Amino acid sequence: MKARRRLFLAVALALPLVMLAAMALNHQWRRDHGRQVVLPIQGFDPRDLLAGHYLRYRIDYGIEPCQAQRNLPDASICLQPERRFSAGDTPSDCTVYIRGQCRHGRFEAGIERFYIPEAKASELEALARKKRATLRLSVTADGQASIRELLIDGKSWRSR
Amino acid sequence: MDKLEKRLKDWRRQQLIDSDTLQRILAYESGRGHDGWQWRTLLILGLSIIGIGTVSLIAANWASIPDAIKLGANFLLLALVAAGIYLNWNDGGHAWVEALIVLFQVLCLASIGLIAQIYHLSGKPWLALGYWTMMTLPITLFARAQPARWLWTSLLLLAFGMASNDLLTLRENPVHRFSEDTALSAWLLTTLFAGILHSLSESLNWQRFRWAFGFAWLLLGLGLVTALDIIHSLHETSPRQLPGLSIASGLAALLILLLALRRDLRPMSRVIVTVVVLLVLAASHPSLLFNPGESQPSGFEGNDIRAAIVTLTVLAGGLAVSSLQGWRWAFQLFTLLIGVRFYAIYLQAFGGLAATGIGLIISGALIIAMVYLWRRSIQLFSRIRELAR
Repeated sequence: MKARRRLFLAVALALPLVMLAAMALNHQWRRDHGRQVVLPIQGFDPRDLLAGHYLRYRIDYGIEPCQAQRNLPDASICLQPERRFSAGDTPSDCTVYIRGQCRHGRFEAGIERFYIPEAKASELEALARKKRATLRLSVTADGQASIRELLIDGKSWRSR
Repeated sequence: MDKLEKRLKDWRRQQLIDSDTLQRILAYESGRGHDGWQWRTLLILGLSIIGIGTVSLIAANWASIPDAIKLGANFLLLALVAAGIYLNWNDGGHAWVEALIVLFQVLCLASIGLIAQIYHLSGKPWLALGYWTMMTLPITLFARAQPARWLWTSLLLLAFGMASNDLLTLRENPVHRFSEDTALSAWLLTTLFAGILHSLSESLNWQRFRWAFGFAWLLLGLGLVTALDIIHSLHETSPRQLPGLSIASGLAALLILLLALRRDLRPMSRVIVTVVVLLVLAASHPSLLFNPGESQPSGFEGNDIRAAIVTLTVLAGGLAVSSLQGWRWAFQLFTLLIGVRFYAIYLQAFGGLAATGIGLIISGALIIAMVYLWRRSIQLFSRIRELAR
């Protein structure tokens, strides 16, 4: 009975580690196995209590998505062969697309934050406002986008 | 200890216990003093602060350290704390293990923050909290002290509230990001959810979560009643129906069903709690008890007596249930809140100060009369019982 209880305790302690590792590996895989896309951004700098400072921005997709005055839980932006917005199912002729939602007139795909060190926050915010920032994304075949890097004038922000 | 000793000596004087029993109880209690609640609580507080400090340290974003090293160090720290819990675990429970469980919970949350930072995730906070509650539920079940369960319960209900607000907003078509109607609806849904969890914990004998769910239900319910009172007192009711009111009705029906099945509550308590749930649901509806869209009174003076009546009825219901169940602290809390609401009536000054004064004097006299009749009825019943013997 005691041995069984200790086994359950070991499982209870291992479960968070396994779930956190799965979360990290899933995002790592998405970042490593998608097609690379670079898009310009404009941003500002708020703060998250859990994960720290981040640059929040509006991604310039080259089109105006989410024009309708309502929220859409399922929407996508086609990047190739041509840029266009679709509500609901993604057109089958689209080879590279990003899935997301329309919320309050904005397209959100879970890539609207870039976490940065506190000391660099104001400098990067100013550069983003001057439209010198772009994002290098990785987009999987099913439209899941993840951020690879923030670029300033085409180079990694870390090199500044 | 002094209080217990005093009470034991009183029991001895009344010859309820003998001197041997008194000495045995005192010896047992003094032996427990080394691992007392003060030490346990302060240890948990200290380790929780260390956990929050770790969250802040991670949030500082050490961009110069490679991601793999940051993740590796994080998993190593988690594994060390997990090993500490495992190696010190014994069935009797230990203050250090309880404190380490709380630290482990906080570190799991910090780890989600670190992964979000490394992979630049901008998902919904309730999804992260929901993921955290799933992964930490098993270890929370192993905790014996309350803080681990209270932390878990708080974050579960926070996740539920945020998810309700977010999904209701997405379902609606608002132009604005924040809507008072949606926030109120999310609060109502979370309160009902806490009530369902509490009733389930009573029915299914989840003793370890009983207190945390019950207290959360009480706190959320009182907050909701206060919010509804303020909104209706100031005639700020929106003429349109709250989003998610049909979902709230479904949850209320489930809660009432679970209340009916509860054996720990007296039949009259079940009836009163059901009436209170229905009354709060009716007060959340825009037009059942109140007239939406009425002109707003000037300044901070709310003048709708119906809002005060709803609040006082709910509080009186809570008072009656506390009395029936013998919950002394809850009885005192509801008495205090009824007093506060009557004082607020005086400030609202319905129909002039003179009328308010007369109304309050009559209310106070009614409460005293009720207490007198109640005591008389108890005495009468006990005399009838004696005569029947």
